[in-house]
Amino acid sequence: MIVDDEPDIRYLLRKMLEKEGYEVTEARDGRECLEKLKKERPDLILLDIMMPGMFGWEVSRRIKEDEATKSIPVAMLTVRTSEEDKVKSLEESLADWHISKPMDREKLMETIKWLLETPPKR
Amino acid sequence: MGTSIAVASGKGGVGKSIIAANLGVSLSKFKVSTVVVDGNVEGASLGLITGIKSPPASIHEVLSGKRSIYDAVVDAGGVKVVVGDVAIESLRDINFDIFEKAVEELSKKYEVVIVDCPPGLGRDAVTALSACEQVILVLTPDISAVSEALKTIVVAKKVGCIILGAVVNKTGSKYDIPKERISDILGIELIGEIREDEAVKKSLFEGKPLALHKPSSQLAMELTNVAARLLERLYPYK
Repeated sequence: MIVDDEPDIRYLLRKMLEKEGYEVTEARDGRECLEKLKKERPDLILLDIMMPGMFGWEVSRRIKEDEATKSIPVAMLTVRTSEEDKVKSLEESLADWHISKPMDREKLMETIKWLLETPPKR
Repeated sequence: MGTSIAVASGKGGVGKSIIAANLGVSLSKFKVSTVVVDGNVEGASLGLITGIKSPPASIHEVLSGKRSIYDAVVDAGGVKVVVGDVAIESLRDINFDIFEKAVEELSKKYEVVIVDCPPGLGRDAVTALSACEQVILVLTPDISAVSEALKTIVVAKKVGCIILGAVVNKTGSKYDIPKERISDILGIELIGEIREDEAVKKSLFEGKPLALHKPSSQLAMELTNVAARLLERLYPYK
């Protein structure tokens, strides 16, 4: 599931992932993501941080604190690249990984494949 | 004037002291005059790793102003070391602020001063980092070690320590975070990967760094490769 308030980013990511054979769903913001998770169980959530209404960090924390969704790997996919932001992703928001944009296509696909196959354990 | 390199980790138990000692041995074998200093005064382990049980003077005696740093340098059969005292009472009267001066003094005599830093980001760890010009991060391939390494990078940047790269230790499980992903998230180059191996435990038991104990072993070779990559970064034009 791609969660990003920018339609262009969602479109680009969707095309990229579908080309690799992945099925993709989208959410426009954190609230829509949490709502969709009541009915859907994606294998991975790619989550933007800077979104209106609720930051991605808060969305991730809610996903990870909910018994029903905590096992879904969550990766922040963001232009926020400082070490402090990465620590916040891994520790406060309990996300499984932090991917800094821009990242080249090949590396992004390798990271997604890894997160789907053997997401890091806490 | 030589350079000083902190071997640091945000998390304890990642094998930092073993890597510091073995890097010292390997650099000495490359004919680079090197001294390894135990900067972990509350959990000194360099003496155990190098088999130095009764040094002429300990880093604790230096930091309490009783002895000169030069009195504490001892040959550990291939590498010069300054080890700590494991007795709790040795922690009395220590002034860790002297540490920076001690490292500076050693840098006048040795090409490379390696400082085995305390784990974490407490006062002593930050002081030890501040005392060094450059830093190598040591971490294990798991999420908590990655997160702690990120915090160490923040502090290293704040104190003006140049980050030479990271060494990922105790690898070999299929659940490891891949080294490429670790390099991506840390935003720094990996200068080495050391596999988990019984040989490390045996070398600890024997009190000899692996690079001395079994120099032809695969692991010792990996540690030598780390030292070689480190040299490329320290002296790129040689």
